[in-house]
Amino acid sequence: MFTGQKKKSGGLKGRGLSRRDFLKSAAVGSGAMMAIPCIVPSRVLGADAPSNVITMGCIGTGRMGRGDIMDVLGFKEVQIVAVCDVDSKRAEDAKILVEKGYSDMIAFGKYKGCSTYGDFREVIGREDIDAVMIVTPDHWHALPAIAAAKAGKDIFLQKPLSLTIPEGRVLADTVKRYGNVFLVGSQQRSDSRFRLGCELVRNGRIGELHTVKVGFDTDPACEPQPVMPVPKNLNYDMWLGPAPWAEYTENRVHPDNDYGRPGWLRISDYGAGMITGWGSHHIDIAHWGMGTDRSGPVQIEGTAEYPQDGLWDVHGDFYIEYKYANGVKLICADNKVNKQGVVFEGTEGWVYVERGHIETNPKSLLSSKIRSEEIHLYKSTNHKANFVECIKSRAETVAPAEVAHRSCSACVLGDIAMRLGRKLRWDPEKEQFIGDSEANKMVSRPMRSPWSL
Amino acid sequence: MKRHLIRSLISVSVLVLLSTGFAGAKESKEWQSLFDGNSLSGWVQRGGEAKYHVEDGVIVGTTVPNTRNSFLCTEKNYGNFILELEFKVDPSLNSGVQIRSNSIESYRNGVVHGYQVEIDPSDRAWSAGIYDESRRGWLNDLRDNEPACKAFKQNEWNHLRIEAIDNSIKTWLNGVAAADLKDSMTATGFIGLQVHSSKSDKPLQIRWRNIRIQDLDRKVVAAKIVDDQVVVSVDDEVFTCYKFASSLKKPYFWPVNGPLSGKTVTVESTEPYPHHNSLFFGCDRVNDGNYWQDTNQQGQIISQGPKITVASGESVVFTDECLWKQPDKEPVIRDRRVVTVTAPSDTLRFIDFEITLEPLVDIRIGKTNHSLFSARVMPELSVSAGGTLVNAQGDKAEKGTFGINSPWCDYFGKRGEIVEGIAILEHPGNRWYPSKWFTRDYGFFSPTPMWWPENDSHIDLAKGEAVTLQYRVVVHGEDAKAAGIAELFQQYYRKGMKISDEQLDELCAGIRAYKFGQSRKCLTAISKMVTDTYERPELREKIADKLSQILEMEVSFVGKQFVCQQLSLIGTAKHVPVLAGLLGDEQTAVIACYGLERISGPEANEALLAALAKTSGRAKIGIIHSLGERGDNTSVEALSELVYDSDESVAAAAMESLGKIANVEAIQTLKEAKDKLQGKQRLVALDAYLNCAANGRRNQAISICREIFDSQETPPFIRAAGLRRLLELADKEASELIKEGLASEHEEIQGVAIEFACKSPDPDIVKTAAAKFENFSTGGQVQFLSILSQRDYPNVSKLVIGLTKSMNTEVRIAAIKTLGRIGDESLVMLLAELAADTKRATNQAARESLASLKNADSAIVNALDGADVKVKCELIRSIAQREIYSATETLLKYAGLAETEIRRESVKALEAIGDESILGELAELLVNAKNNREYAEVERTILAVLRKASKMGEAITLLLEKYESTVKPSIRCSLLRVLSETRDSTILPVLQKAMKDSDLEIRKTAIKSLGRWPNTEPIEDLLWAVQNDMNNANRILALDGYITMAAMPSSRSAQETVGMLSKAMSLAQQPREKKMVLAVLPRFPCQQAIELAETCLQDTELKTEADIAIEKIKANQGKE
Repeated sequence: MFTGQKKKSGGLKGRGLSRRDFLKSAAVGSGAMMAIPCIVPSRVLGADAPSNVITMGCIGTGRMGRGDIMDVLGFKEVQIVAVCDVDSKRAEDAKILVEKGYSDMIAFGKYKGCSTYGDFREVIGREDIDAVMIVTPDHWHALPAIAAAKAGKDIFLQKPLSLTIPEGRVLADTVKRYGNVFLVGSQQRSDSRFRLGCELVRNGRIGELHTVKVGFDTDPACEPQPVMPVPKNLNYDMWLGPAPWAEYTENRVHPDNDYGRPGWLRISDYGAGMITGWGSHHIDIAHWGMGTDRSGPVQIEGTAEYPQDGLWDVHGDFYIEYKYANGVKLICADNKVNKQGVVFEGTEGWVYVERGHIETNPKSLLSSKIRSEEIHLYKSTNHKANFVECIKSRAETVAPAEVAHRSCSACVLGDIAMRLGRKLRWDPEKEQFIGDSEANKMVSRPMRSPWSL
Repeated sequence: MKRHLIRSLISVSVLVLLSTGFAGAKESKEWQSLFDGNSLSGWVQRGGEAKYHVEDGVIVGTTVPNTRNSFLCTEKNYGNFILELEFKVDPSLNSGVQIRSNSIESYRNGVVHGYQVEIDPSDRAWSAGIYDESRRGWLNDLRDNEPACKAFKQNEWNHLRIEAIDNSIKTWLNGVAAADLKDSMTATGFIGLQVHSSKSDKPLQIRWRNIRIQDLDRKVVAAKIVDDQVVVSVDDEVFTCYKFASSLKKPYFWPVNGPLSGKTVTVESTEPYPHHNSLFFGCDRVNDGNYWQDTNQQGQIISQGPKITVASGESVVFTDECLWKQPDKEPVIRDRRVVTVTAPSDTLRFIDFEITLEPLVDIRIGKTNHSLFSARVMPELSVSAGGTLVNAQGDKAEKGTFGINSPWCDYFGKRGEIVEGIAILEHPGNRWYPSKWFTRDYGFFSPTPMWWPENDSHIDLAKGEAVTLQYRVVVHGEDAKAAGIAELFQQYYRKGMKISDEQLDELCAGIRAYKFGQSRKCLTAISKMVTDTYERPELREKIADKLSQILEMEVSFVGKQFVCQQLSLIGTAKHVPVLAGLLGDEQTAVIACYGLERISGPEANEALLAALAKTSGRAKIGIIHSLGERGDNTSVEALSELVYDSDESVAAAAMESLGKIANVEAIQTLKEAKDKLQGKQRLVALDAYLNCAANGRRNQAISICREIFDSQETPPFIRAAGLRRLLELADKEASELIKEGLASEHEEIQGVAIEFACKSPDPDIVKTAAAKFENFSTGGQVQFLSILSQRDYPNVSKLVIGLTKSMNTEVRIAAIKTLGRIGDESLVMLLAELAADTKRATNQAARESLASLKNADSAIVNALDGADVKVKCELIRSIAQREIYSATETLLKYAGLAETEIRRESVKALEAIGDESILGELAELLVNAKNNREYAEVERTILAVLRKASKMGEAITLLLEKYESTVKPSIRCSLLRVLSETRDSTILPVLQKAMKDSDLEIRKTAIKSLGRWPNTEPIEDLLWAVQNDMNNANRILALDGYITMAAMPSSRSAQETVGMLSKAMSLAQQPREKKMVLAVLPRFPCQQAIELAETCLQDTELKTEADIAIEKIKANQGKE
């Protein structure tokens, strides 16, 4: 979906003159298509500002979006100039958050310069924006990201990468086509414990890897919910977007009055539940350790309990077994079966890693040094800082689109296997099931017009 | 073992038959057809994507270009068999028939492999030869068998016979003996019809018909009535008997023999419940009767005499009718039973038991634990004797399974060396399915809904209200998991699924009535039905037909939407008209597309095209997108007309769809559009045009990308995308393209060129890029360096080395980082010097690079000697980071002698690389320590080494000896601190002694260490110090330790602890000491605590704290 793109300067990425030139012309020309925000004084944003400032638009400013905005406010090289949400109340809140954040950095006076939007296409249409941060519900991940990629923006996208496998494929291909810097919010890749765990496995410290166990919590069910009037501040049709039409009820969308956990997380039209919610963290790490993060499983078998009634319909307790071409088995299950985190089991020991904790058997592995000649995985110590650095260096990020797509695919494949309850064989190259036409249909979902991939 | 004996008997008999000559031999097993003439049921496709379909009783395989070899395979495996079929093949297509073939993950990612009986219409005509697909190649070609080669009939039907018996595989083509192979590599596997891969665009076909098999491994099941029993045997061995004598309380099955042992898995009767008759159906509390236990007077289920309907073959079937009656009274229930017994494999036996209860009067069944289908296993299998009872959820034993709903339960256990068991599977159509189970560890299990009636009191069945219940009993070898009970249940569930019109009508009525906010159970049920009927196309069709009817009724939008979603999964051409009917309305058109988008065949496409002209807005856009998703060439003309539509969204959608279809005409349309259109629309056209270059023909893609890259009016980032794709496709032209890109004034284009230059395998290209380095923007320079760092490329290191002095910070840092990746040992000094740089960014990057430099360990150690102080420090730091253990001696030397900075860096490094062997030397280092800071640093290193020690005891002894032999108090203190950190109990006496030392510092150290001891062992020592140490500071330290220990969690009562605290209070001299007592007091709420706090109330300096303490004590008292 393109919007005004006529004069895309090399803006990109604030390299050298083009950005400076653009800002100069913007300052002179009064009839610019968008109001150009004032730029935070250089002493706040660093010596190189404003020419090297990365301007950012934030699409989706809910529970996660606000946290991500606060992270970005800490980077002096970045300036948030636009916030966008289909809930106008939330967009306004985000604007306040941004402007207050920058005002606090200035010793006196108030910073104003963050515009609000209700339609992501307007943000992406802004020529003066270098990068977007997309933190929307899962069914709204791929489309804005693809549009942003086509408009030449660099992209931070919250995990999971997409709702369906073809969405992820198109997104990864589009990002590849236009060379956008892309980072998905699987921040465990920027956590030294997870990196160490995977490096130990990749360098054979536990012998030959044969099994990986991943565990996380599950979602509850609920009663059928009453139909409610759509709040005035919510553009509900836009919120639904490509998903099937449905009556509004608060537990479907997000809390109208606060930033509590939104109900959409538990509805299959908008996501797959914890299998993608946590799966795109832990299965992502499993892939990293297995060295399969640009491929996928060859066989999937799963069972799960799904609520038979009520609004929420994503899986409850579950058990999935994946097999990879290298013979490694990945068992992903709820916390009753597998503990929270990732366990790599090899012929000579194991590595267990979760947030804030790493354990090995034998214990001595923890102090084993990965020598300079051995396999070193991508080192990033701060996820969003990695994004900012890569915008400058144009290097690949620690969690690029193709890798995120493969992590997300494995999660979605698990969901399909659980729903179908039969053994499925997968061709990771063609990204199709082998000999199961129905499963192949479930890989994608028709989109509600006017949206399409 | 017995079954082996049986197997070999069959083989022998077959061989005997065959040896008498093929022509006159009688078939030892019946022919079965593998192809029903109408559908591909029983077959699954593996491997490639060739098309298989049924046409006039013939299976037709059609090639699809550029896919791998495809196979239509039987679901079942066959080992010993005779297979006959006819085929007719296109003269330019290779094909074959797989036998004993497999597809397993562990072998080349599931590739179909194994014996292939060749179909070869080429000139050599090796049809009926044997080739080993994806394994060993030709095993038995026909170069020496001219008669067989000549037997092949081009363009006609050919007859093929294959006999696979043990290690012999023989073939006949049109009656002429062809291959004769002896090979024992694979004993069993599926049969598969191959369509060979083909590069040809022209579809080539192969046809098969009259496919039939004699499965020589098939078990023959037989039934006959002997006296009052139906005796069922499998391959002449008795499997089970249905006992129906009229004197019985109720009919039952006994024995039920395990397939491995031949011994029964159930017990006929045993105390204290003799009525648990093996495997039976009964019920207590039926009106006033008892049809479960007790005397026949209470009630009897009386067989009217079974009838065998299928006496032998793959399965046997017999029926029975029973009357439930008490003597001299009219019967209350008539039941009809259908029993089917099969033996699907060596290790499995099925008894399918179907019973229809017809109440002859109104029936009330009181809540009872004695009801319906039940089994009582042999004592040796019971949980009490070490057996296992498990249900579908994996819950185990009576404790886990009793009263739990489950579709099946399995009871299994060891019988000598082997494991056998019996499972009861409930049919999904059963009322009360999945029922709660009545289970007992002593060996009983039964799905027993009557013990949990909905109203908790009874279940009523009106006269004439028949209830049918079905169960499958699985008698199996091995445990539940190995026997695959879960999968067997899924099979039973899916094959056994019946969907009645009433059931569907009811669900459809549910959909029609459905409104959001109500229960969606009927929607869930339909979705599940759709999923579960995957292998039942006839049921799917029935569901789809019923659902599609809803679309023509008055139904809510949500209901229709749900139907369209289901039809997107199961709809066929037949449902196109009704979906097309929704296209007229903007709202419903959107959901009609869900179905039409995914129904294959031309009908759906035609319907969408027909509606195109009649719709607008969202509906039209949806239709256009659906056409794009379908990718059908016939849509291109209509879509092309919309590219300049006045509705820009419609035009954009049309361009996107054309970009997906991407045939020659679509490409032409987009090529023109991108030049004619302006602004936003032009960008859409460009992206769609570029999309046409994503797949498909290389030349076409190259010309598209070249055009875009060359177009000066196109935004640079899109031109860059064109260049990127060009470079992906390029081979020889790559270096010229990269040069072109590097010369571009646009950063985006330059960036792509840099990226590909750095990744190029051609060293000259990298050199070319390096030569232009000066002209790159800062971003380009950084990009060049960071990509370079991802590969080994020594030729450019000179350039990179130069850049480490760059005035541009970003470039400098990138260069330093790159050196860490691509550099070698020659860079050690340079990086160490940079690491010693005062600029933080520079030294950080350099330290990182020094740590990661490959194969540089010895160079780093060797560089130490000549380096100046700052650089030396950096080298030592990197020794620690790299953990260069061989440098330990050198560092010990530096730690003892050199300048402060070097000494300290060395001590720190030893923390990382030292081991227990240098503990003595480390302790020596304390001698040279200049100040407290240095003591602390050495202590930390000693402690770190100590913690790593493999022989902790010896290490401690060594340090203790050092402690005893040292005079200097400061060193003794250090050693005490380190030793006490080990928390080793041998240190306590040392501390106790040190506590009484004449040296103040030593005493202080000891008291501090004792106060931090993790348990209360030294509490008396601390008390002693409070009372005896003359130094006030030490006294307070000891008191603090004493209080802390008194307050540690313990088994003492609160009163006892307060007693100890009271002692502390009495020893406390200053208010701040007393405050320490008051602070912990509330944790021990009791009257004594209050009283102790009250003693402080008089002291003005303590009053506030005392008040607070009293208040808290009271509050805490309340909590208990």
